[in-house]
Parts: sequence; structure tokens; C-alpha cells
Amino acid sequence: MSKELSYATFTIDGKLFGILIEDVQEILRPLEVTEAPLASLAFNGLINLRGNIVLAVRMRQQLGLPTMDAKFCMNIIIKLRDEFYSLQVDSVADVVVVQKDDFEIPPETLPIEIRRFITGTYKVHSKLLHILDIEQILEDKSLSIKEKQSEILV
Amino acid sequence: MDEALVEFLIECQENLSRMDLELLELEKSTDPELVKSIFRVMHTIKGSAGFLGLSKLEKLTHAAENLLSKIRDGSLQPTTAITSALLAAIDGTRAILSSLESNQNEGNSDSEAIIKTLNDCTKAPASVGNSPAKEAPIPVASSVNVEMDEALKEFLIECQENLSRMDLELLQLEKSTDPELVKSIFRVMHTIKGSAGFLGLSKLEKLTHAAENLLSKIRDGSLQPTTAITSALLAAIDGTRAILSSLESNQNEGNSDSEAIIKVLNDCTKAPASVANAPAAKTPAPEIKPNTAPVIAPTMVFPNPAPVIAPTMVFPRDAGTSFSDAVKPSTPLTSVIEKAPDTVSVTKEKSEEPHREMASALSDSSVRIPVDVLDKLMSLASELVLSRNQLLQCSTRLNDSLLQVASRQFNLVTSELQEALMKTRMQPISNVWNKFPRMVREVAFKLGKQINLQMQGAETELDKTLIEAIKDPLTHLVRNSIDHGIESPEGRARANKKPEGTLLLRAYHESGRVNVVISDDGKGIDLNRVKAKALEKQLLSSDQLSQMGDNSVLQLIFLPGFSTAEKITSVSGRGVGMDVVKNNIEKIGGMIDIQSELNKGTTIHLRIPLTLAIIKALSITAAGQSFTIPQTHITELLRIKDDSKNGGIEYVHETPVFRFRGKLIPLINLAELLQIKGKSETESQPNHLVILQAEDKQFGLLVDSVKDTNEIVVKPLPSRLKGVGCFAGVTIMGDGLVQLILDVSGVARLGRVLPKIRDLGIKDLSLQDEIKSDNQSAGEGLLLVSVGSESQIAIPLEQVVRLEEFGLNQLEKTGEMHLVQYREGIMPIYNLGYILGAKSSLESQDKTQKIQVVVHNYAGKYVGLAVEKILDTVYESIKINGDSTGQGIKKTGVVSGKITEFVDLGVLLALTVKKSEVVS
Repeated sequence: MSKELSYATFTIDGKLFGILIEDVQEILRPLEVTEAPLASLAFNGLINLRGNIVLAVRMRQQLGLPTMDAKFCMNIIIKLRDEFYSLQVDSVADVVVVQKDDFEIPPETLPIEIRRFITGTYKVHSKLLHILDIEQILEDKSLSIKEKQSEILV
Repeated sequence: MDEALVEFLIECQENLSRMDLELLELEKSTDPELVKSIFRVMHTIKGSAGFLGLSKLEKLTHAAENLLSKIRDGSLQPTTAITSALLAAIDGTRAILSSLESNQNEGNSDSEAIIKTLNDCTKAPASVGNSPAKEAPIPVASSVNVEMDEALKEFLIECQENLSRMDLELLQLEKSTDPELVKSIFRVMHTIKGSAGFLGLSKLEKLTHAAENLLSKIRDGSLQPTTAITSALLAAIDGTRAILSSLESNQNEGNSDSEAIIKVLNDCTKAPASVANAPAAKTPAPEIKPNTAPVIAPTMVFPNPAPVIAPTMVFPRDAGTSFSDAVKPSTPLTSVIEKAPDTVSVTKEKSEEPHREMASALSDSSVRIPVDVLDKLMSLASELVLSRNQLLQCSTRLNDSLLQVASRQFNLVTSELQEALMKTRMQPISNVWNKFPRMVREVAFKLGKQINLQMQGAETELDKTLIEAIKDPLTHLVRNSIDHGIESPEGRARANKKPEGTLLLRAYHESGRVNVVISDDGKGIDLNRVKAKALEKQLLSSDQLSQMGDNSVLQLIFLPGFSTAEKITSVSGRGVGMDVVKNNIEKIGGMIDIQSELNKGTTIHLRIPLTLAIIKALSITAAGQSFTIPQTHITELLRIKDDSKNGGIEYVHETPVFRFRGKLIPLINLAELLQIKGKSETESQPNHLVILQAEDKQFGLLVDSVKDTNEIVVKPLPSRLKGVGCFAGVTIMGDGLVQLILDVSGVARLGRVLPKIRDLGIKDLSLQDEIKSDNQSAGEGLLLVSVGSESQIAIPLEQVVRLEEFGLNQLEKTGEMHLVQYREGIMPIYNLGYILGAKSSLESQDKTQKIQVVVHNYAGKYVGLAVEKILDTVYESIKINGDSTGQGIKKTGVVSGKITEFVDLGVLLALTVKKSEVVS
């Protein structure tokens, strides 16, 4: 059994993040995004990918960072339960091969807003590679639509 | 085998639903054609069942066939009892078929009882007399012409299919003597014979009879299939074909010479009996060939193979005995082949050519296509429409005349393709309606009402998915009409109406939509009762009610839980699950409208789109962003002037309103509603107004500009956006950008034009459930359920709040408790079977499965009790009382002829809840 894992890596706000290369459908340059009003701030863009509807996820928003215009974001297209999502990140880096043994769980002191999205960290050369939990990112309802809606209704 | 069975099942399903209708028709008229048609279908099923080795089904259908044959020959008049028995037989057949479909065996449903009833019906009047017997033969003679259209055509198509298969099988038979093969051939021949006899095609019958005789000899092993026999049989098939083609073109059996073939067949059948053993194969072969060959030749299907195969088959057979013998027969054979073409040239012109074309025209006119192939085609067509839109935009921009011509052509073709494809998915609404006569009869019978069901426009077509979608709502509405709309005969007499109530179903196309109208001449809806109920439920104050128009009051019955929240007994007025009906109809983009006049009747009007995938829609912009509105909701487009005194926006306090044809309608500013700020901050006030119809309310949507209308392809909204509530889907526009489709009802709700309703996603079981009313008052009301143990469980109706159905995936598990979200709260679910000690668990089942839940009010809270099956509600005084058999069981008794355990939910839950100690 191989102890090596390949991750597609990308940077958000200067930090290196990664998801398993198998999970990535494709990586695209900035695409035109249609905004979906009233949706959660993290999930409010729609992209046409050859006839498929892709929901854009603003990673910066999700990680509590100042947002960036979609015009400059790279799109990492992933597919979860038959739906397409695009992780919008600052820039795309290399595919990194890591040893399973180098894995470490995130420190307890990491703020919960970020920690809930990160399964762990690999020590790669001079940098740390944070592994994102895709399910968590896409399932997260922290900025739930319902709350926003009730605000409007009140 | 598998495939044959599947085909048989499909065929039966179709036939059975037709038979349902025909049987009911039979009650009204004794049209001999009708009887024959029913008989024929039953006979076919019997035959197929026998062939497939479905002995139980065969027995059942055989009994039904016997009864039908009595009716057919006039020795029995169809009475209600007989019809009921036959309907029971159909149900029995259905039960067996569904068991076959799911378990691949005939199941253990009890068909013996049905058979007995059928036999009783068959025997009973046999003694009574023969007098009417004479009437029958006359219509039989005249039958062929009349029935030509339907029955004969079907027969012809069926035969074509069967014959070509038989061709192949016969040739195979030469190579192997697989008994299954012989049986299959025999069966087909037998079916044709039977049908021919029934259709009065005597010549065909004789021919097939001869062939059948020969085949039966082969089947029982007293005859070995030789080349000669095969040839004779092939000749018989050709003869059959000739007769069929003549039937098709001239509607008579023609004068083709079948006697010769019959003779050959008979010779074959007899020959070996006299000649007996060894040489049998040799002698007849050369003799018969000359007779048969001419007939073989015209087949065209195997013009050469037939004679060619013959000699090759002769050699191995005789090779063992003597080689010289084998050479001899080959000489006459070659001469046969030479001779054959002569005859071909003659017969070919006469019968072969038209037969070929016509036959294929008929049998090719319908092809079974799996639905997913159609779906795939449909989605491809949708993509094509999209590309077309893009291309059209390009071509107008580029201003190239050649490109424009080409794209215009492309546009036309695409539209046509799309339309044609749409048609493939269209089905007549009668697919749903067909079951209504039966249902109406049964429900009316049960309720002691007389109902005349009329159906108009059953041929109206709509998309298959829509047919599926409206099935349940329609069923519910029809049931409602019978149950609550139409009065009992006595009630009608009091109201000076005919004892027989009329229920009218009407369907028609209008302005690109399908309209379905369900109207009855019953007692109508009492608005005062509706108002009283609304007050009682504290849905509205009496002030509000007094200000409401009659129509608005009527709409109240569509509110969820309006009518049945507390008890499942005595449902007064309509409203059982009307919210579910409304939801289902609106889910598919339809509208529902109700009109009612007290003591005159009620009319429910459904407007349903033709298809779902492609809709016409209008593009608008608000604060710089484009949105799409389905055209079906748009009433009018207006441009408003800035001047508020002169037809502009006015304000009631801070709320904008607009005078629209003398009435004030509320306005919603889309940009504000969606909280979008214009990117360019140009201070352009939205000055276009889109008047929309959301359910029964009209309102105006303020937008910046109105663009063009397009045919758009609706794509599902990503699941993460569904919660927003004001988008119905997304589409891709000509410029390749994604655009959101506004959900007009959702927008109205969000803008508080419509009351906000939370969809619990719970299907109201009262759709399927019979909840009985007025005329049943004797005895205690009981809900009968089964929990997986042998006996049934009775729950007093007054302990039941409601019956619900939940998907197992709706259940959430906390510790040992199963919980479900129900009516804005959380309801624990207990497994009644488990409590009572039966072996059943909520977890072991498939997650997609549904569970039936009896909702009980325990100590002021809803508690759900999962049961295996809800059987019935009865109002019966208990006959035998036995002692309690366990904890929580009050007593045992006999209800509806079955041993029943009576439970007291209060006691039972007190025990259980304490046991598990989890109640909060």
C-alpha cells in the first residue's frame, strides 16, 4: 500500500491549501459569475460550465478573509453528489505529493472558523499544507439562508 | 425467459386497465363486441400464462374465461355480481403480476376464492336456461367487419410478430429438438388459432388448426420433426401470412389456396402413424416437397435457405443408414428449387408485395422505447435549443447574410425537432383517467351513492412526467367529490335532485396549457362552515373573515391542515389534504382554482403546463442584474410614469401600491427584495412594472427594464440555493451566462403578498386513506393496522389525530429515540410492532422506504406510532371479546372476520415511555 498522497494545492491569502487530486474535476481561469441574491455569502455565484450549472464557493468568505473579485479568482471545479462546485481561490499551485506520516491534526488553538474546514496539515518543505475538508466547506450552513431570510422578514 | 416474462407483464398491464373499463361498460350495455374483446384479452393472458408456466395465473384466468365464454355465447347475462367477480379476477391477476414483477414468483395471494366465485357465477344460471343462447350467433357472424378496426388490427400486429419469430424457431427446430422450442411454436400457433376462431376467420382457423395438430404430435413426442414436417409448417406459416395480408388489405381471408397446405399438414400428422417407425423420415420427404416448396419460396425471408437447408438436413439423417438412399431424394429437390421461381413470380405479385409493406406498416407503427432513452433525447434537444439561442444571437451580431439564412433554417429545424420529441413523451390523460371508473364505482358503492361519471377529452395529451405528477392530486379530487361533494341518494332527493349524482371530468388544451376540470353537482361547499372552521382553528379573526370575498374564503380550504387536524373521522366539507393537492399542482407549474355554489356543486379547475423542460420566459433586469420570469405567471407589462398623480406609484404609508384597472395592487421592488445594489449607481428609478399572478393574488414587480422573451431550458437550482425560496431554477442564456429563474410564488411570499407557508415535505396520507363520514355511525370507530404480527391491531379512532407517511430518511435518531420534524415541532416515533413484541425494526429497512405513522396526542404532545400497514377504518360493534393478551392490550375481538387486538395508546405509551425513560 502506497503511503503517498497527491494533493492539488492552491493559495488563499498567502496560505497553502490542498484537496486530494482525485476530487478535482478541472481547474479553470477566472470565469464570469452570475450572482445569486439572498443566498449565503459564500455560495452566491453561478457559473456555466459547458451547460452544467456550477455553484461558486468564495473560499475567502468561507475562511473569514476579506473577499476578492471573482474576476481574479481561479476556479477549482469539484463534483459532490452530482452537483458541481467551484472553489474560488487566489491562485493555483503545484500538485504536491506527501507522505502519510507527515500528517498532523490542526492545533487546538486554531480559531474554530478555520479549524472546522481543515482536517489536518502536512509539513511540506518550508511551508505548511492545510488539507481542506470539502464536505464541510460545501455543507456548511453557518451563514444560513434561513437566518438571512428571517432578518428580512422581521 | 426473463425477457418473455417482462414483455408479458407489460402487455398484461395494458390489457388489464382496458379490461377494467370494458367490464364497467359491460354493466351498462351488453354489446357483444365488448364481451368478445374482454374474452379475447382474458384468453390471451391465459394462453401466455400457460406458456410461461404460471399455473396459478392460468387457473384464475381460465375460470374467468369460462365465465366470459358463457356471457359471450349468451347463456349468461352480465349482472353486477358477475362484473364484480370479473373485476376481482382482474385484481387477482394484478396481484399475481405484481408479485411476479417484484419476486419473480406468483406469490401467495389467495386466488382460490376468486376462482370459486367465478365458477359459482359460471354454474349458477346454467340450469336456468338456454333460451338466450340463440341470440349470440348472429352478432358473431357480423363481427368481423365491425371489429376490424380494433381487435383485428391488434391481432394482425400480434401475428406478424409471432410469425416471424416462429419462422426462426422452426428453422432452429430442424437443428435441435429442444422441447421448449416446440412448446413455444405450439403456443403461438394455438394463440393464432384461438384468436382466429374468435374473430370468425374460419379459413385461418382451419389452417392453423391443422398446423397445431401436427405440432401437438411433435410436442408429445409421437412425431420427430423432419425436414418435411418443418417445410409443411413453414408452408402453414406462409399460408397464414397470405391470409393475414389479405385480411389487412381486403378485410377478408382472400382466396389463397390453403387446402393444399392443410392436406400436407394432415398427411404429415397421419403419415408416421401408418408407416410407423424407421423409414418415416425418408418417404414423405420427397413427396411433400413439391407441394410445399412453392409456398416456401414467396416467404422472401428465407428464399434460399429453406430449400438449401433441406438437403443438408437430409444427409446427416440418412448418412448412417445408407448413403445411396440419401442421394436419391436430392434429385427431386433440385427440381423443386427450379420449379419454385415460376410459382413465385405468380404469387409474388398478387399477395407478397402488398403484404410485405402493409404488414410492416402496421407492426412498425409502434415501437417500445425505454423512457430514459427519451429523456436523454429530450435533454439533448434542450441543449440544442440552447445552442440555437446562442447561434441566433451571434448571427444577428455578425450581420452575415449567409450565416443568417443558415441559422434561420437551423432555428426552424430545431423548433420542429423539439416539438416532435416533445410529442414522443406525450400521453393521453386517459392513462390516469382509466382507473377512475373503477374507483368511482367502488367508492360510490361503499358509500351507498349513485354516481354517473362522465369523461370528456380523455385523448388530451400531456407530458408523461406531468401525467405521473397529476395522478395523485386528481385521484384525490375525484375521491373528494364522491365522498364530500355528491350527496347520498336520500340527500339528493331532499334537495330535489336526481338520485344519481354526476361527476364530470373534462380535459382540453387552451393557450398552451392543459386544463382539467372536475365538477360535480353535489352539495357544494358551505362557506359559513369554512369560516367557522377558520375561526375555530384561529387562522383568521372574525374581522378578517368578514372582509373576505366568497372566493377568498373558498381558498382557505387550501391551507395546510385546514380541515383534518384534530380527527380523522367525519370530515366535513372539503379540505382533506387539499393543501397537498395544491402543492403538487403548483410544483409542476400548474394552477388550481375552485368554484362552488351551495347545493349546486363544486368545480375544480386545474391548469397544467404541457411540459416542464422548456418554457417561455421573459428576461428582466433589476439593479443591473438579469432575471427570468416564466411567462405563464405574467399578466401584463406596464411602463409607469414618474408622475404619481397620473397613474404612477402611490403609497399607503410607506408601502408602494399601484392602481391597476381600478384596483390597488401591492408592488414589490425586485432589487430591494433581493437586496441587490446597482453596480453603476445610476439613479434610475425602476419604471417598468410586471404584473404577476401568484396563486390567487395579483401584484406588481418593479424592475429596471424588460428585455425579450425566450424559450429557455430549465435547469435545477443547485441544492444550496433552494433555501432562498424565490428562485425556481436556473437557465443558460444565449450569451452563455447563467440566469436565475424567479419563482413567482416564492417572490410573492418573500414580499409578503402571500402568506408564508412552511412546506414540511410530509405527504398527507389522507390521499389514500378512506376516511368515512356521516352514514357510518354504528359502533365504535376503529383504525385497523398491522404491525408485522399475525393479528391486526385496532386503535380507537378518537385516539388518532392524523395518519402520516414519512420516508425513513426523514427520521433522525437521538440516542434510542427516533424523531421526526412535524408541524413545526419534533415528534418522537415509536414502533408499535416493537412495543407489542413483534419482530420489526425501523432501522433494518431500506432508507428510501416509507413508513406509515399514526399520530397520537399523548399528554399534549404529538407522538408517532409506526405501523407496518394501515388497513382500514371500520365502524363496527365488536362481536367476540377475548381477554387481554399482553401489556397495553385492552382486549381481543373479531373485526371484519379477523382476530384483532385492541390497544389503548394512552396506556401503551405510558408503559413504553417509562420503560425507555427518554421523554422530556
